[in-house]
Amino acid sequence: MKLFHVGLVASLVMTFGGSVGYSLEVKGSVKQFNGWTLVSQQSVGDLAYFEVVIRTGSLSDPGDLHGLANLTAHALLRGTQKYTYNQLTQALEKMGAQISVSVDYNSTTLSAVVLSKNLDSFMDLLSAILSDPGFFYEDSEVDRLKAILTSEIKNDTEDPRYLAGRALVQTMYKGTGMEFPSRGTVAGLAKIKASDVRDFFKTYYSRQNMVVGVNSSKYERDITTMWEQRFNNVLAGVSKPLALPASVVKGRKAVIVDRQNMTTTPTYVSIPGVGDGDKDMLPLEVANFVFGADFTSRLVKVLRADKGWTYGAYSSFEYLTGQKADPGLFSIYTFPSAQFASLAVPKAVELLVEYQKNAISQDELTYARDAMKNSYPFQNDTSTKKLGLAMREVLTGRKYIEDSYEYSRLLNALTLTGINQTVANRLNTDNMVIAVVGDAKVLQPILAAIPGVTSVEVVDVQP
Amino acid sequence: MFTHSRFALGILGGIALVTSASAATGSKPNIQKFALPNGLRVFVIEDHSSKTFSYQTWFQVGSKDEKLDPALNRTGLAHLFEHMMFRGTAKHADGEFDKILTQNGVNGENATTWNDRTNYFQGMPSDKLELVMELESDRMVNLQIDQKLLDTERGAVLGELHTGLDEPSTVMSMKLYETAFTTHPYHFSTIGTEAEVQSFTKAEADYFYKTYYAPNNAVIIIAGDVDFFKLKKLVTKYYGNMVSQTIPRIQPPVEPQQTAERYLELQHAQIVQTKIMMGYHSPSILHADWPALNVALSMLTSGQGALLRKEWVETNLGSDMGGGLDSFTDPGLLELAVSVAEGHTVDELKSSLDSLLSGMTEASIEKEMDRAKNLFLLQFYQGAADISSLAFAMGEVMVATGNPMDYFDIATRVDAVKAADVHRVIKTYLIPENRTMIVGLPQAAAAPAPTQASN
Repeated sequence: MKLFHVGLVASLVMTFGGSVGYSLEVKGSVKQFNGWTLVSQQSVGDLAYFEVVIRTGSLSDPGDLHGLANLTAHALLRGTQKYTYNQLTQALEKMGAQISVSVDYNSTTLSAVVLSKNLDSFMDLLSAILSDPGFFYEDSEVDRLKAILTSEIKNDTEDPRYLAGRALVQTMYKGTGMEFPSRGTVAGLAKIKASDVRDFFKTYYSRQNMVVGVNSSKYERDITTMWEQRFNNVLAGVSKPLALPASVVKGRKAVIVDRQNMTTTPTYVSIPGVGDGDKDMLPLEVANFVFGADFTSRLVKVLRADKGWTYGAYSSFEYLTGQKADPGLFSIYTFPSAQFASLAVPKAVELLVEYQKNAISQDELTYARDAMKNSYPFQNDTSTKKLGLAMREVLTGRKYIEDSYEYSRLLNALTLTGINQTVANRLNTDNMVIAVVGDAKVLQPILAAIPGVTSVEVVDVQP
Repeated sequence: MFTHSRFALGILGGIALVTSASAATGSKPNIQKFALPNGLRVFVIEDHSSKTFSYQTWFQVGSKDEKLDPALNRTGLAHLFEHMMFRGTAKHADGEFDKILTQNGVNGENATTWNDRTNYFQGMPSDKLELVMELESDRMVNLQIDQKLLDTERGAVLGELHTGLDEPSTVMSMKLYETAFTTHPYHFSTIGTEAEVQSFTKAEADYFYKTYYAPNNAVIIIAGDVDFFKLKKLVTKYYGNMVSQTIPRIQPPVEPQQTAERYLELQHAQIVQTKIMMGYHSPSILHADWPALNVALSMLTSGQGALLRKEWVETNLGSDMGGGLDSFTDPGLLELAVSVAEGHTVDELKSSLDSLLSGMTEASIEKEMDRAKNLFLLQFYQGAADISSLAFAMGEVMVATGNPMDYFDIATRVDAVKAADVHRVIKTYLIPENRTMIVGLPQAAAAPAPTQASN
């Protein structure tokens, strides 16, 4: 296995010689000690990468405090006991580090990159961020952050794709925590107090509830030792895996976010999905390569190449709910010109229903299998991709296949009959939500005419 | 597709940072080049760390050129034509190009069109070099433009155009260039208007193809696990017989100096919070002031410590602040963008920006400059962190300067910027009379009709 991208940067600017990119075999390890789960990989390069995944997300938001998980995650970067926000920023900049946080329904991820030469000092700072955040000492930064996040959340609703996706998820998961956006709501944020952030942190930010990944030039055993020495102050607690709820929709429902003056009709069509680590995921991925994962797939061929109705049409198990151990959704996303919505939206549904019934042909299987085998080198050709695959194995159970021969062997073992049975058995188009954004008066009859649709509702998506 | 992926090195989100400024003295990767007698230029970056390579074909024609060409005099065809390049040759029928590449493991296959250029690119496993070369050389000269397929692709392009029109930032960006440029063809949007896209004829597409898709108007950049000598033989085999063409090289009119601030309000149905997008006329990439403007931009917008973040975001005046600096062939814009927080006004943010800029010209800024330079360099290097990105960055610079190797000088040029340079460029360029402001308003709150003040 070759690593490359870090080495290329190095060759341009740092201390390496003139040749581009060095590589080492990467054999990541997963170690559990003192309550920690640490994924460690060694690679040659001038940058080190960190991923800290905390098993909490917006599903942990208590009561109507929608946004508490998101606010808590961002508040981590607003200072520590020792450093104010400005001092923390300056310290990070000085050592050449970049940190970002993201929150979804059931996980929170802190991602970081740092110059390898500053790895030690960065880990000291990261330890302080994870164990002694500034909100235990100062409320004002939480209030400032609330205002910033509130403004950002309002901007989310300017994105038509976001509106379609949110309408779909809040319908598919009505009555569950996923009815609310993972970044929270303006109303929810307004109610949150600094003490709520502190309580949330104490409940969920324990080492047992985290999975840590490090890709660096250090030996794996050295990373383990460094982690043991520096992160003792992180809370001890219990692991609290947070499962996604099951979708609640029975039958086929359509929802419209009423927006005037739209020139496209952003559209999601979703049915219940399959967990990322599920034994059936590989055959389902092969079949989806044929159906909608690629530019040469059926959806693009019919809706774009043949008809010219839309610029794009794709399908994925990751849209809207991400890569999760639990079944999320299987979704189509397309955005036909508004004038073609009456043709494109029903056609997308028709293609999905037909796909569930008849799946793929032998020629299509051969094509998809070749394509997936041949493109395998791109799946793990960088440090960040490798780290992501290793973390995925721990978090979702999806096996990290390092070897392209093993990947080919697994693909070759799949049969057409087996794949088509899997599609038929694991995908159910009886329970479906279609979510569109546009003029409700125009779209209502279009959606009502789609076979099996029992209700068409106009819904609101509030920031 | 068309893209707005301008060379926006100044935009950074999150706490960012890195690398010492002295890093700019680092060495370059192993790059070799050659040219064929027909004018085709080829740049090769050998890198055997992954069993893959990136293959990029850059044509030096974009929406600016079609506007200048009296045989066309409009925009949108360069982009529509880019779509047509995927729709079949005499040898490979419609759809085969994508299918063959996909079955052979293509990664990141796409194309983009912009003001000054059009590019086509794909990543492939190492053993597929000849296959890619056969397909790419075939469509460079043997494309068959079918009327029915042209009409179908027209629909996809309109879908792309419509998608942009539903996005406030895209519409505001179009209006920014339309307002800031009164004479130069950067005034016109690359994707064109709906009327233009609807009206292009097959004859125009044929003319465009024959005129501009010639070996002497193309540069191929290949980066990755390839052997230079084998590659050179293959290039000669597949591209050597192509005939060069006379390329219209029409110089665009020089944009007159702006002497008063321009201001345009627009309403957009999707805007929730008032938005500001502003552009300052800025020199082209080879101009001596371009690096200092990049440093100034980085000081203003990069990282959590960005001056405009402190000025606007941390004070809750605004959110989603960012910026960018064009690296076009001709002078472009330095852009800043922000959403206005509820309860605050455009004038508040504008005043605070002008005060900040004024203060920057008088203050000691060395410390802040170091931070900004480091951030710029970090993003510069991260932007070329894999073979595909590096080839892309080199291609973009090649279009602007004529030489992709100029890409590697950018870091050195930025590293050499002094405080006096930053002071000078702020006083010269970042002044109200050189600024165009586009204000996007939620529809309900907007004035009855858009207003525009112009010099």
